[in-house]
Amino acid sequence: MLDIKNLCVNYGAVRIIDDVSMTVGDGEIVALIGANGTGKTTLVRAISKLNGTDSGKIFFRGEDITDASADKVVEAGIIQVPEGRKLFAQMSVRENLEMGAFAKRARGKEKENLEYVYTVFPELKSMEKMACGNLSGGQQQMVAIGRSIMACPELLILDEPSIGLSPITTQHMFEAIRLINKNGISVLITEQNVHDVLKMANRAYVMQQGRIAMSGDAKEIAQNEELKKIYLGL
Amino acid sequence: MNAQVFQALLDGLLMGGVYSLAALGLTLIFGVMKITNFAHGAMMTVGMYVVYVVSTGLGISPYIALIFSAITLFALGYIIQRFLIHRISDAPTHNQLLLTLGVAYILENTLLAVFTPNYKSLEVENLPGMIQIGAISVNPAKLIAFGVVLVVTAAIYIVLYRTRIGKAIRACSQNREGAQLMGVVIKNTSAIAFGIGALCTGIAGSLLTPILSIYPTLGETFQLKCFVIAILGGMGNLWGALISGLIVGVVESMTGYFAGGSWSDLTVYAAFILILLAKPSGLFGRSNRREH
Ligand SMILES: Nc1ncnc2c1ncn2[C@@H]1O[C@H](COP(=O)(O)OP(=O)(O)OP(=O)(O)O)[C@@H](O)[C@H]1O
Ligand SMILES: [Mg+2]
Repeated sequence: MLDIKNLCVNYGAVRIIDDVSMTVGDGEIVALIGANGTGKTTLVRAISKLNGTDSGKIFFRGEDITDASADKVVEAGIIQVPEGRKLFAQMSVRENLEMGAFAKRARGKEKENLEYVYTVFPELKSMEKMACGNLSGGQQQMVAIGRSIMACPELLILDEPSIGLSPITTQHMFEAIRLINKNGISVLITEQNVHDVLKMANRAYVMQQGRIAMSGDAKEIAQNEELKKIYLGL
Repeated sequence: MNAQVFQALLDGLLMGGVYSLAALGLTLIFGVMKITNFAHGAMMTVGMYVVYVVSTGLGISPYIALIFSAITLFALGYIIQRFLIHRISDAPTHNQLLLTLGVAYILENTLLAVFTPNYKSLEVENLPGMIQIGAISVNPAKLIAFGVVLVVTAAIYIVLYRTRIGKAIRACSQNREGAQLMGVVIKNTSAIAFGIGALCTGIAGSLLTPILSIYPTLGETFQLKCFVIAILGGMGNLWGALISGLIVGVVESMTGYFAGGSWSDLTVYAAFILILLAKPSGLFGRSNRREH
């Protein structure tokens, strides 16, 4: 459903994303892994149009969205849970979730989506009235994922959802992502928590300095000796 | 309470309300665009002249002409954001600031060219002179101004907290990219926010027209005053601006009564500097920076 072809992104004179091609199929979980500063965030921001691109194309369901605006990408069904979460700190949990249903595509389904969010994260229900700025990192991540579900994603992009979370909270978050995926939503997830994400993903891309260094079945990549040395510290 | 103190307090609160409304507009614009609108005072003057022209031209009450002023200023703010500031939204912030300063000079000089620098004042028919209650006397125009400020402020709050576009505006000011990722169109939302901010200052100016004599550069003093109030309230903090406006109004009026009018501004700005030294983010400041 997502098809990226030979994408390049520069910051000034520096090429950050260098000729990257990748796909996400219907119903798949695809992991994008790589060390600090290799360009994972730059790539997913380019998909959501928070960054521009310099060359290459991005297609979604066959439609060219390379030059679409950020809101058009949302209306097409690509919803991102960004690095740093980007919640509305002075709004309550409930208001943040309601903002998730801002897009036209989600407007009529606000009620049922809210119920769905509460089945995925029952703990959010009791925090409805709390300001998001006062929540813990794990709670904020739940709100961020909940907010994205409110937008009726067809493709959900998660940029390092486990960052700063305890191992237990991380497991909880990954459970939720699995559950969301079972309900038919495709997932593109970037992670440095390579071990766990490769267990969950169908396929994976390994990024190194802005290029795709390796790609394939997640289980096979997890077994790759070179990768183990670099990322798993084995 | 001493009647004189009460009189000063009342006068200060009534004028402070008008300051609050104008500063609310400035802080709202800052919240969304993260720039200080240096054309805020000039826009206020435009609001005054719209009331003057409509009221004398059509022979209607300035309080009805105020509606024309509100609409004109909303449109002016919308256009300035949508067709000028938005075009350079990727430029460094100081360039955007300079743009609003340029707009201020264009507005002021247009007023000068059209209306000359002469003072103009508006007589309001059917408005009684001072209302006397015991030892206290109230200017009815200030009383009406305060009432209108309350209504307009309440309306703006309803828009910001209950409507889709209002929620989008608040979302943008709390996290612009977060809002974009939920499908908020920044271009339109910013323009509407700027329009509402301009409308605030336009209405504030309109309410002052029956009280003050107007001239094209009158807005400059209010520009500075709004800036001081918005900073005291914590830039981007709406409630902070409202309360700080009242405080500045009262400080100004108290000083005027007990030390003489020429001390008012000095006291306000001295208090401003002292407060900032003690609390650099303002009285009600919280760090309201955009998160990245
Ligand atoms: N706004 C910017 N201007 C210039 N360079 C930038 C900017 N943002 C990121 N970079 C650079 O782009 C490169 C890729 O950064 P990016 O954030 O995409 O990496 P990442 O893989 O997401 O890293 P992390 O795992 O730390 O989140 C880095 O070298 C970074 O220094
Ligand atoms: Mg990153």
